[in-house]
Amino acid sequence: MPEKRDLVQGTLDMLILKTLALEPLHGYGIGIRIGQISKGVFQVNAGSLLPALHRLERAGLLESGWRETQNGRRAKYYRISGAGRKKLKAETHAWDIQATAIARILNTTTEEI
Amino acid sequence: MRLKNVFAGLRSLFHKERFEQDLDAEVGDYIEASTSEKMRAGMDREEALRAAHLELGSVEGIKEEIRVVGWERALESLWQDIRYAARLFTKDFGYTSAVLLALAIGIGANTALFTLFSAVALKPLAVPHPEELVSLSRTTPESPRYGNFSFADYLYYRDHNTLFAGLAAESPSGLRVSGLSGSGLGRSGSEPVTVLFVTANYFSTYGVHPILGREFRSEEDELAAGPYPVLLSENYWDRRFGRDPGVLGQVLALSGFRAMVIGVTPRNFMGTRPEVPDIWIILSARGDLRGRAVDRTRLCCALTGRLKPGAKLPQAQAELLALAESLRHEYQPAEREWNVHAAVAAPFGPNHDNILRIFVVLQIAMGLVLLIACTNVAGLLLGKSAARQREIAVRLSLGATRRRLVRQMLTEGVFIAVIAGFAALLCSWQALALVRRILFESLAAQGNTLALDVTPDFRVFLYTLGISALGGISFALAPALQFSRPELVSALKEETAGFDARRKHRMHGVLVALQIAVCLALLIGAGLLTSSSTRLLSVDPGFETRTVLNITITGAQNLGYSTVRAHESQKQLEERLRALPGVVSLCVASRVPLGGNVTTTRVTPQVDGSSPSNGQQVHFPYSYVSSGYFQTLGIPLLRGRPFSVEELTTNAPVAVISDALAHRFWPDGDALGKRLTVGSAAETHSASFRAPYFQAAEIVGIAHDIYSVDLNAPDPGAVYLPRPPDDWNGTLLVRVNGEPESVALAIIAEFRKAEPRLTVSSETLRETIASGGIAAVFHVSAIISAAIGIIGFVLAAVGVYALVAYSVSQQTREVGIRMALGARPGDVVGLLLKQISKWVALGLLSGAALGVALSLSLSSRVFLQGARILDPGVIAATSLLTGGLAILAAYFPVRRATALDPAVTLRFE
Repeated sequence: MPEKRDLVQGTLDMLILKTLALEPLHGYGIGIRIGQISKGVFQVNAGSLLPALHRLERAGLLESGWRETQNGRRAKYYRISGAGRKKLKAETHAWDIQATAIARILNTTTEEI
Repeated sequence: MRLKNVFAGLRSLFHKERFEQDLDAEVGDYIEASTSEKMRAGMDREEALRAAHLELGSVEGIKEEIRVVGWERALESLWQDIRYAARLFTKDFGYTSAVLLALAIGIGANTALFTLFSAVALKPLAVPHPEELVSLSRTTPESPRYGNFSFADYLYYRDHNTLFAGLAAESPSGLRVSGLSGSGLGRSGSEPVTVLFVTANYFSTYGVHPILGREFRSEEDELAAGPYPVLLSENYWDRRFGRDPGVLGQVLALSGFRAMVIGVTPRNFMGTRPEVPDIWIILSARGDLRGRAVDRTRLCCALTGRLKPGAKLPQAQAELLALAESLRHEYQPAEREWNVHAAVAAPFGPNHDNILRIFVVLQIAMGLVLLIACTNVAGLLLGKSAARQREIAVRLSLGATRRRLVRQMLTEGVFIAVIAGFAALLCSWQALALVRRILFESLAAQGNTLALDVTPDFRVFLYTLGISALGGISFALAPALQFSRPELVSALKEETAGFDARRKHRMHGVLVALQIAVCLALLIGAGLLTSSSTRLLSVDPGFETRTVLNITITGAQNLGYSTVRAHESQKQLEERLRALPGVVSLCVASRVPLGGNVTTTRVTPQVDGSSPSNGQQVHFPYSYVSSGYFQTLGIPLLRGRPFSVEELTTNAPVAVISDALAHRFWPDGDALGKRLTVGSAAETHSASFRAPYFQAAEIVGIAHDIYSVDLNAPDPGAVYLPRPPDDWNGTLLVRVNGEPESVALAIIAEFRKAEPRLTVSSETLRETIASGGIAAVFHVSAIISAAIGIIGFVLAAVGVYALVAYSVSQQTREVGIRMALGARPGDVVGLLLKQISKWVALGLLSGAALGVALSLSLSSRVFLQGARILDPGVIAATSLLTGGLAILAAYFPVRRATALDPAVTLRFE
């Protein structure tokens, strides 16, 4: 489904991986955490978050297990796998290069050409 | 795909409930977490729950999105589609059986052909390292892939090459075997067997070892007297000796010489022969070949060599050409252009290419039949899809994507096609096995063994699956694309013209035109082949064919008669035959006209007592004939006389030439009494094979032209020479009066009495011509193409009928209105037929063009030489037939529609 592989989705995967690299979380927690860290810039809804989690798990980048939450509910917790960490590193590197390049372009003034 | 992914997919597929539970739990937990978050922010529980759901959107939507993440989901929906298709097809039995039948015929015909093709041409030779085996053929400028070599040439190539580990010669023959203990050999006490004469290194060259006994030894190549060693094929050992190991050492009588069984070869081993020989015998048993190592024009043997490890075919070819070059000075001028061609050995030897060619042509025809069948089914499916348009519209409006619907319809098509493919595979397998059994029995009765495995193998299975799937997609694609267009509103309203009516009619028209075009192309091809075949056989060759018996005698050279004795015996036999009732006249000739065997020699006219030096030396066919030849064959002598008895006994230098030759050499003068140089002094003479040489042969007669080489044109010239009295070779030709069959039996009985060791068979010259050479190829092609044409014709008839019936049923309302408004039935029938005939005409035009194009491309193939490619009569007749069929197929449904009461048709919906 190529039309869904846009930048936003790629970014979402990277953000999920990063969030889980810090600590294992369940689905809702991941959404909240991304919102917190980005200071509310990114609001991730369940419609894209949950399928993304399943996709990443299928790709072997995440692992999951059922655990009790603090308030005693059973919830599915995701944690990053070794392959996931590698992927995150690579993605972060690629993103840095892209972001730097885009920033450079956007900051260009006429004199610099 | 990662292994983990595969396992995860399988897990979710087989523990579907568990997967669903987990999914529910996860989404529920998400909502729960979201709700408690909102309650912490101060909402009450109900409000928070509502907000959480609002934020989430459709729970089912999310779950579905999660489900489609895994690959197993696609499998599951495929399974769903298949179940749906199965329900659909079991619901409408008539429709389903029509589809299955059309497809099974189309696919079955293709599968049967491919099975044969695979069995005949695709299987490598059943020997170790078949890629090292090389077939050698002698080539001439006229026939670049001819075959046999003389034994002398074989010895030269065998002894002088450096790249072959072994080079073997073989020469097939049909002999009779007698002296077998046990019964079942018939009243004559002998039975025909197929025999392959081979050199001692034959089996080691092929790399095949006997399953019992031993191979030939190299010193047996020099064996001068019997008993000669033979090996039996396992097939024959089984059939005749019941696998008795005591057969080793047994002595058989083989058409005049004694043979001792030394071994048994593996079942179905046949080298490069088209059939399994019953008996393999050492070539030295051919007394006529041994000791004539100098006669290089006596062509007898096919050569097969095994390359040394590491040697490559091009090197071998280069070396063989160099050897052929160094042999060149040994030949007469006529043979100096002979060369050698080496190719990887294939089943059927030099005929392999021709067989491939025939299969390609047939495959094209079969492909066209399949195209008709698919078009047929597409028409049926189109009708079905139209009936389903409401269902499709509902599904589209419920959110099914167009891709999903198209996929489902394609799945349906492939599903039904694969089922039909399996049915076709079974049917073609059984049909081929039946044909094979019949062939096998009739061949076994003639002493032949057929080793043709028609059990479908993996390749055939894949092929059938492939064409089924391809067919399924192709016929399902058109309706799928047409009916999945999301024009929801009109379809839901279920208007008569729910979809664009004009476009739908066009689709029907195109399908009708396509079927007619392909059908006509097939019929034109079949018609041209049939007419060429009958035309060939109805050519008057210039001699009598129906009442002349062609009597083949083998084994004479093994009688061991002296020349005088042979001459005596021959004369006595001729006298006894002449006395038989029904025998009008008889003669002996060195070759039978149109019998397939052509001998040519150099013929030079003499002017003023010397041969001209202007190079007017041309090769013409010649035959040695005895007295009574022209009378027996009914060839009129235009001038002069036949050979006298004295000329025949003294081998006098006289000749009878054909009219064409006389005109060629003496365009304005009288050829009678002039002289010819026939052959050349350097030609080698030998006891039983005689290259002609007459320094100055007097022309005593001029005979009417005949067709003796092929049926396409009369001979450009022919020379008849008096048959040497001591010649045992040749064919006996007998002109009979009355029923040829019974006279033939009497003749064979007479031979049995006089010379029981000879093998005698008889057929009329007409049978000889029909069964040999190009006539047989045409005949078989005509039968096969006619069968293909008929299949295509029937399929197209059914297809056009179904399409028109459906199309007319869609117009029932219109017909009703017209009738209600006072149109007469005849007018309406005319109107509807006019609509259809436009497409029929288009189909006929493109079909004729396609047929002509196909025939033209066929004519460039070697095996169709002599076909009348553009026969306007055939094209007109087949066009009329096809057009008539289409209109007839259209007429019945149209007639039925107009026969209905308008009041009923208007209430039709």
